[in-house]
Amino acid sequence: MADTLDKFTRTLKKLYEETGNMLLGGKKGIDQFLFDIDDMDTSANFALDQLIVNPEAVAFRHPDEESHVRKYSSGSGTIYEVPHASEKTPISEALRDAVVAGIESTGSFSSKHAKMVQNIINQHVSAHTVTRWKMALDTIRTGIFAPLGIGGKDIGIKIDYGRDASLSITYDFTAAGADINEALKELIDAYRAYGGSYDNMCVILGRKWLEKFSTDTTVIEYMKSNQANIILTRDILPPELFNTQGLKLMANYLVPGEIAPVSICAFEPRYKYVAYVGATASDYMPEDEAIIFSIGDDRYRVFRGVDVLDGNGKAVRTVGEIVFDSFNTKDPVTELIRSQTRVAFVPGNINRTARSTGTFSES
Amino acid sequence: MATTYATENLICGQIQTDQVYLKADTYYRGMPLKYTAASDYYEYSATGSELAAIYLGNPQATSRVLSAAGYDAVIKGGQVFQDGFVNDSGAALTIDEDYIAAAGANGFYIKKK
Repeated sequence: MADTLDKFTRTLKKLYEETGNMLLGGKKGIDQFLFDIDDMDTSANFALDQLIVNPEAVAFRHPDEESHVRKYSSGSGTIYEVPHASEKTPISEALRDAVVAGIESTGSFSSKHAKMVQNIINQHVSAHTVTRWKMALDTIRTGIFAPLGIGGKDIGIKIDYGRDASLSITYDFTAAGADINEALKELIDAYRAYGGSYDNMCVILGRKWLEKFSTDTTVIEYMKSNQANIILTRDILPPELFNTQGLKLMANYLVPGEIAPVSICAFEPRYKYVAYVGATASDYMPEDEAIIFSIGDDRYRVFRGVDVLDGNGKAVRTVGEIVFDSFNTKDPVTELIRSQTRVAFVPGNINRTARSTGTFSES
Repeated sequence: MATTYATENLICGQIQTDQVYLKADTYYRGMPLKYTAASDYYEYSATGSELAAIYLGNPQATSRVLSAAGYDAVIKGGQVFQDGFVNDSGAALTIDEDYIAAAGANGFYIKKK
């Protein structure tokens, strides 16, 4: 129906915007927390030499006896291929005509285009961020760095760091007498048996583990009693450990029978993880698992060179967490915004991490 | 020990790629593949008219063994070198004019050496 009067209907639009798990200003991602040494270079691969020795005690001798011979342990070196990830988003003629969320339909083309490009970049950044978070956690969980292809499929570029089987244990919470303290003790024992450090010991618990922890009678008893020697500190408003986005420090807890406290954490960022288009959203940390590691151990977040187009369309090699470029197809005119990265998470010694998978009753 | 360095002998222009499901086999970069609809996977075929994809995989590895059917990267169309084709043992595959003409119908432009 045609109106003869131009009605005064509304003011400028408000834009309510949410883009997945964007890293907030001032925060660090869990990938940086877990793999805190950045290694950036425009080369293709990452070379790591490992010299892991625990020298035996010296042998004593009688007078005039010959010295015992101590062999030199030389270590070993490995070259890791760092895999590529790249994604592109086309801005077709149809999209260039379209109204962009947050910009008035009467807005200028340049402002709409700028907003669209910014939105595309944000979505790429968020996608790269959540991928790194999940891959970093999974590397500690499984001992395997697992970049996956389209549809979350294995395309043969996984890096298995060969963690000892004794560092992937199970705990049956349904067994008689089972409780969280024993479960944590077994996890710490497995971790310690391979030389894991007591310093800055940290565990990240899945949801079901957290529930066990929160409802355990011993833990509740510690919470109730205001002891001079504190063996459990808990904050009703859990802070984020080392300002790591989504990593909540639930408690510092001295597990009965242990000599050093452990930081009990949960990783719960705002959104769940979606592995690929159409995948079911899942927890970053599987609900039945717990992992242990030392915050102080050396682990490497490796970025390597990607090939991009510079302003003149020339191929150049550069490195970064995410590298953006754009290029055009001529007919029809389509601008493609592309993001690339080349990343691997390499632990200095994978045997300094352990995982326990719990068996829980159905309820 | 002598070392030989990598050279590009498969990609020679704009290509289109995909990640597809492959039959259990050993794959070498440059292996021509056909699609077997009954099994829903791609597998080796040296017949030009059947050329549906060329195995790409990881160029830094000499081959990949798929002990069970699995996923990997293939070239689905574009410009490739005549020299880059290999058979299912990784040895050079002879590409004649018949092959080039048949492959052309499937979206592969094979550049001659």
